[in-house]
This record gives sequence, structure tokens and C-alpha cells, in this order.
Amino acid sequence: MTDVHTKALSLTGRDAYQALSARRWIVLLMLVVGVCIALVGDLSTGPASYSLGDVVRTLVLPAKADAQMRVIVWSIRMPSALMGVVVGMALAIGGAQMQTILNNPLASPFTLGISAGASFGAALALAFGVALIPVAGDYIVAANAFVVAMATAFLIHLASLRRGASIQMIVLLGIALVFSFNTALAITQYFAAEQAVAAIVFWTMGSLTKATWPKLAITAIVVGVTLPVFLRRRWQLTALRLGEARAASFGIPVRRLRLETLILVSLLSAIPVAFVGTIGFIGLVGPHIARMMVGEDQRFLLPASALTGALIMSSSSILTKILVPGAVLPIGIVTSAIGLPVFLYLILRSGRDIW
Amino acid sequence: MLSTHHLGASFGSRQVLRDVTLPPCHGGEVVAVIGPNAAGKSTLFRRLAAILPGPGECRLEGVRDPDRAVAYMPQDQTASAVLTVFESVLLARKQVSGWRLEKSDLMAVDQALAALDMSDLANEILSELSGGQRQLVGLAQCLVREPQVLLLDEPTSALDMHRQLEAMRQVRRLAHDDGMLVLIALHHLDLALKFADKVAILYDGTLHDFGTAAGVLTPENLAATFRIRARVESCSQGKPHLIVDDAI
Amino acid sequence: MTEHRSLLHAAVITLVLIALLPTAAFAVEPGLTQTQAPVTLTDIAGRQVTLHAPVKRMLLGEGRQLYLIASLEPRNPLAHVVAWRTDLIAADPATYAQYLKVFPELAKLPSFRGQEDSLIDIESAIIQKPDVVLLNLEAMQANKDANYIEKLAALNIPVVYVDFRHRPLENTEPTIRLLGKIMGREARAEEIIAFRRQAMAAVANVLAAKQPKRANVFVERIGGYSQDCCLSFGAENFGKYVELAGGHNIGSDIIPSTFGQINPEQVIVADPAHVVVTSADWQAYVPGGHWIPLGPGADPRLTRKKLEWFTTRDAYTGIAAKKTQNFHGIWHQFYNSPYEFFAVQQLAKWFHPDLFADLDPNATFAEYHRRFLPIDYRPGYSVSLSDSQQ
Repeated sequence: MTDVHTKALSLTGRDAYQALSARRWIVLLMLVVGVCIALVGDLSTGPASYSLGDVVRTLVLPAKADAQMRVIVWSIRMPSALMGVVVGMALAIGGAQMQTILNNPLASPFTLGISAGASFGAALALAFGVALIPVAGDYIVAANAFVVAMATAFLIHLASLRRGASIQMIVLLGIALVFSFNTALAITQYFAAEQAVAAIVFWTMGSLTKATWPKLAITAIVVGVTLPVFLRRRWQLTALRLGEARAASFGIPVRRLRLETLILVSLLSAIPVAFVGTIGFIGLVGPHIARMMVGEDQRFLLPASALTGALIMSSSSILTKILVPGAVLPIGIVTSAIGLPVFLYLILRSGRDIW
Repeated sequence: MLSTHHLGASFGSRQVLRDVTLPPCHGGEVVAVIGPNAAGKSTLFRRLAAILPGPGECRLEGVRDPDRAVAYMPQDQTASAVLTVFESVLLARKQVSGWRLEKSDLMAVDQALAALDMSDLANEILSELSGGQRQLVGLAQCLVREPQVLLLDEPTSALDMHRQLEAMRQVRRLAHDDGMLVLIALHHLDLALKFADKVAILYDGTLHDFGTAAGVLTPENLAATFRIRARVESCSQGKPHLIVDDAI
Repeated sequence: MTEHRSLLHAAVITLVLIALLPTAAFAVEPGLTQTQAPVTLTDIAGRQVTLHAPVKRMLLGEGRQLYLIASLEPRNPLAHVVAWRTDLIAADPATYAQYLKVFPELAKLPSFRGQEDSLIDIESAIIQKPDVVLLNLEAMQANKDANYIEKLAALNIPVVYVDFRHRPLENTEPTIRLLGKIMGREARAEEIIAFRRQAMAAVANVLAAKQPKRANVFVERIGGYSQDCCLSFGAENFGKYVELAGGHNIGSDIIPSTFGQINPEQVIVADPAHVVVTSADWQAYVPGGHWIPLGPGADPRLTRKKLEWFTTRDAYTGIAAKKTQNFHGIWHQFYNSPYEFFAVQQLAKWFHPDLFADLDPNATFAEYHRRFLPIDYRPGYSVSLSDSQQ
């Protein structure tokens, strides 16, 4: 091989990579635009039919707007719309990292029992007023959900520490936990009063109407803190997808990395669930769609997952308002209705570029 | 320069490696590590790469950066992900070169691919490669880290004859021209004979013998460790070859 | 020899007579109960049921059936109840406490657990040897699936379906009549029905005559139980009560079934002139929550104060009800009891104070208690911030 020849080919490898990266940046940009459009759409949809111009004016100059419009846009629509974006991000990032550290395309906070645990915790509060940690009355449900969700994540971590614990074992444990918590939930519902049962059922279907500014702040902070931590570790995390042996051969402390990531993922899953109830499929489907668009490199996969999750949530929120005008349709129903066909498509598709 | 003292390792209650004391190996050498199945070759490499704990000591002297000096290529190269060859080699590079993506990283990847004649595979997705191609990717992932000690665990088992010889030639070049110390686990004793400067035979977790290829590949050693009746003889062109008569 | 035989005869006859005495005692039963006779009637589900009336051993498939039983037999409602389901104790502790005070033996009544509309424990039912099992209409499908009717019929235990919750306005009256028949209290049943009719007519007649405009009303269901806004009723239950009281329930247009949740924005858009919050003492479920502790014997100052919090809800910004302070609170359990006439009267008085200036719902309810119930009336079932105070 002559030097000239070598030089020509190296140019191709590097340039091709840079061209690929440029395409991916464009995809990210389009996702950002998409989320912005969906957000504005979410803010403009609602029983009070305000025009887009009115909404934008109220957003930009709140002091000059009509009092009722201001309250509706800022106090009612805004927290719920922003919560949708933030929760979508949290769930999708959590799902992406769970799939990464467990090297399993079916891993998500839903499938590992964290959401089911949260539902059970919430049910305890709604049915019996049981508070697992002493907090103000308003926050009992959320606190319970959070505590049980974190405990579940901790259980999964303990199991993964056992000698000979394979990834398959962890995933199976997660499934067992889902069944266990669902049973516990059924038992709770059996003993609960009628109104409590209705409240529990509604909670397990998830709803952005539970959003308040403090909840939004907490969730946003969690996302804002974990995302940079993940981005800092992006090369190590991406390497995990090459398999435990290969990653270890790179000198990556695989066990420790998994533990730290699991803790952060638990936070990312437990907090949104505690605040808005269980919302399924975002953590599973969001990362897969993102992966199809930008590949496995965490530099792109993380932001793309977050944005995809946010986009799905925002769009679902708009749909819930259009499908049943005036009433509140739990958003979990819509995300499942959208997510399930996509999920089935992913499973049945035999292409190579999805996992 | 690498040497070990009483290196050991165990899985649970099973002692897989016992008291392995390697005499000093220097940069510029190709050291073949041979032995029958379950002799402990992979375990030895994992001990040397410091990813498996155990008793004994592995001494590394004269290296620029002890943390980055050793690159280990494991035997299992079956993993696949939605990454291009370029990306996966870049991934290996970024484990040692800091958080930001620099131009030097991209160039290093190109060079590593070119060194292995893989530049045309740069844009292929990992999951679409053949077994042999994946092994080359694994090798590239080691080279791109610019190590001083290379631990290759059976890197040629899935390659065809031509590629095996090409790869071994590369390995020898890396050692003799670039000054790397290459420890390579091999099944094909002939390759050891052809390309290795030193040979270590592992048997049942211990170091059975160490020395030049001719000195180690004796009929006695081969009978004791591989349980075959074999001998090394020169062919009509005067090159030494291993002739295997029978299993014992 | 014959003397001995006669003595023997006399002894045998005496013994036999002594043995027959208890039987004779049974034949003539002292006390209130009349002799039983077979009766065929049609229950609320339209089934033909034959049983021995008046029944002596009733099994209540739902605790709340006690309210009606007590209305029909206030002196000793438990005389003919052999077992009941414990749902009342958890669902309406305030009323249960009232009954317990007057009838402490209620605590020892054989009971079985479970939801109102789930299956009763059939074994517990059978061992009590009831004359009749009273089941809620909502449980019908589950019972059909489990073949309970057939199983009980095999033991000659008839099942009667009643209802005062599923479609209270249609079924409560026939239920009362039905119960009156099987308890041998038909006259009293008619009295109760007449009272209820009159109470409802007091509202309906005035509305029919005056035809006032129907204001928009928002009913906030279980206010203070959860943080969500804004739970409400569809066209049934409280939604229906609002219509009967001369208002227009916003939820009726939006919520497809009986219970649901409305977007807070929608409430603002509908601009209700009245907000009715249904609530109760839920300290056990939501300690320190915003619920209003309405119910028998509630403290009016406390309930008023807790009602005031609801005016600060985002969902009520700028609505007509806020300007006129037409915020009202009412005991949530009216959604599930045979006393909806009180709710309708109270709602009517709030919605059209000028038309119903002479109507006194509290007095109506007090009279009902006096005439038909074994417990005293203790006001506290409603509260309002509007000028026409209760």
C-alpha cells in the first residue's frame, strides 16, 4: 500500500464519520424544533379556545393579558405542558441508560418493576392513608411512590451484586417484581373503599394534571443534574454496549459504573412516577426510536432519547385534550396506545440497525 | 518490560492459575502463550490486564503511563451494536484520551484501520461484520490506544489462512518496528513457531516451560501438555515446521 | 297387673306431653312477629322470588341496607338481621358510630368483608340460615357468574335484589316497598315513600310552576381527597340531583359515565354560577388534607373555614360563583344513601333562594329522623358561603 493510497482512504474514514456526525446533529436540531412546536401546541390546546396569537401574547407579555387567559395559560396549561416535556425526558433517559447497563432492548423502568413499585406505594397512601415517611398530607402519595420505587431499584442492585448474577437474571427479577407488585396492588384495591379504588386506578394511568410548579422544579433539577453526569461518562457507557468483557478490557470499572448509573436511573424513573403516576412505554419506545435515528453513541443517543421522549409526551398531551374535550383522559392511555404498536413493530422487524 | 511473580487466580473454590512466574519479557518481543483448552491462558491475560484480582504480582517497568500501557483484546468478539467500525474503534480510543473529541483521535482511528487494511470497512455496522472482521476490529481497538504491551487472546482463530498470516505479520511488525511487547495466545502451534520470539507453555494453570520456540516445542513437552506425538523438523526449504503424528 | 299397666300408660303419655311442650311453645310465638306465609314478589332486577314473609332472618349483602331496614323497623332493626357486610363501617364511619351508640350489639353482628359489589362469602351466608339474602343490584353480574342464586336456592334461601345507588331516583321507592313487603311493614313503607315524595315534590312543583333559569353548576367530587382537580359527576347521581334542584350540571355534558375528571380549564370556560363541593371527614385517608369534615354533628365554623379554601383553587379563577360567593359544601355520602331528598332540597335552596325561602331542608331531614329512624338528627351535612345561609 502506497502512502498516497493510504492517505486517500484515511480521508474517507474520517470524513465519513464527520458527515455522519453532522447528519446526527441535524436530527437533534430537528427534534429540538419538534419539541418546541409540540410545546407551543400543547399550550394552545384546551377547552378555552384561544388563538395561537393570543397564547403567544400571553406567554410573552403576561402582565398585559386578560386575567382569565393569564391564569389558564400560566397556572393551568403551563405547568402541565412543561411537566410533560420534563417527564418525557426523564423517562426516556432512564430507559436508554437501563437498556445500556443491562444490555437488553426490553429494559425500562416499566419492565423492571420500578413503576409497579411506585404504583403500589401510591395505592397504600390512597387506600389507607399509610405514609411510609413522615411528610405533609399533600405529598404522602408522591413520597410513598418514590420510596417504594427506590427500594425496588435498590433490590435490583443488590441482586446484581451476587456472584454469577447475569444480566438475564436481573431482567427476569425485574419481571418477577412487576408481577409481585401488581398482586400487592390488587390486594390493596380489594380492601380499599370505592373512591380509593377509583383514585388508584386513575393514578396508575398517569395524568399531567397533577403537575404543580414545585413538582416541575424538582423533576427538572433531577434531569438537569443527571444528564451532564451521563454525558461526562458517555464513552464508557457507550462501550458497555460492546459487552461486559470488552468494556472491562478497556479498563472500565463495569460494576461500579452500573451501580452509579442504576442509582441515577432510579431517580429518573421514581420521581416522575411519584409526581404524575405511571406513564408507560416512553422509557421503552423513546430510546429505541432515538437509536434508529442517531445510533448507539451516547453523545447523540442521550439527547435524542430525551427529546424523543419529550416529543411523544407533548404530542400525547395534545391528543388527550383533543380526543375527549373538556374531560381529563389519563395520558398513560394515549402513550400506551401510541407506544404499543411501535413496540410490536420493533419486535417483529428483523432489521439489523435497531439493536 | 513485563514480569510476573507467583501470579495466581481462582474462580470460587477452583484454583485456575497457580504460581505463574514469567521471566522478564521486553518490548520488541513477540511472546506466544500456548497450551491446551482450559490451561488458563485467558485467565493469565486477564490477570495481566488487571481486570481479574488474585494473588501474586505483575511488574511493569519502563513504561510511559502504567494505566494506559496495557491493551487487552479478549477472546470473545461476538458483541454487536448499532455502531460503525469507525465508531467502535473511536470508542476504544476515547477510553484513554479524554472527554472531548479531538482531530487527533479521528486520525488515530484512521491510522489503526489502515494498519490492518480495514479502511474500506470503516462505515460498516458492527452487527453486519463476519467473525473474522470483528476480530480485526478488536485488534484495531487495541492498537488505537497506542499501548506498549499488547495482550491478544486468540485474535486469529476466525480468520482465513491469508488473513491469519497477514495479522501475524502485523503483530511481528508492531513488536519489532514499534517496540511493543506482544503476548499472544495461540492455538496454531505453527504460527508460534513462525512468528514468536519466545514461547510460554501453560498447562493446568501453571507455567510448564518458557523459552525460544525451538527450545520449548520439544516432543516431551508436547506429549506432556498437549497429549500429542509431535516433532519439529525442517522442511525442504530449511524452515522449521511442526509435524503431528498422532494423539496419545 | 292392670294397675301397673295403667300407671305405665299414664307415665308414657305424660312423658310424651312433656316432650311435646317445646313444640307447642314454638307453634305459638310471642312477640312482634306474625305468622309466616309464602309470598311471591318481583324484585328490582325483575325476578320473581318466592319467600316466607315476614322474614325473620335477613342477610344484608351491603351494610347500607341497614338505613332502610332501620327506617322500616326503628325500634329494633337488628331483630331480624342475622348477618351483614362490613362495608358501612369503612365507608361511612360517622353514621355507623351513630347507630352503634344506640345499638351496641351491632358490633357483634356476624359479618363478612368485601366490596359492596363483590361476591358475598357464600359459606358465611349459608351457616346463618337466612330467610332471605338481600343483594345489591350492582352485584348481579358477579353473582350470575358464580351461580350463587342456584346454590342458595338449593338450600331454599331466596335472593332478592335491591337498589338505591345504581339508579337511586327510579329504584329507591320500589326497594322500600319491596322491603316493606318482606318485613311485613307495608304500611310503614308507604309512609316513608309518601314522605320522600312530598319532600321531592316540594322542590319539583315550585320549579315546574316558576320555570326559573338553570344556572351552570360545577360539582367538585370528593373535594380535598386528592390533589387533582377537578373530579366531578356525569349525568347520574349528584349530577341528576343538580338537575332536579333546578341547576345545570356542567359534568353532564362532558363526563360519559357517572364519575370522571374535568379539565380545570373547562370549569373556567363554563363559568359556573355555583360550585358544590362534596366532601367528608377523611382524616383516616388524607391526614391534614383540604377536605371538609361534613357529616352528622359537624362543627359549622370549621366546615365553613375549610370550604373557604376551595375559593382559592386555580380552576375557579374569575368565575361567576366567586363573585357571588356561591360556594357550597355537602356531605359526600349522599351519593350513596336513600336520603337524596335532603340533598335535592338543599341544592334547590342554594340555587334558587328566593323561590325556596320557606323550605328548610334541615327540618325535613330532622322530621325524617324523628318519624322513621332510631337515631337522632344531628345537623352538619351541608355548609355554604353564600348569603342565604343554612
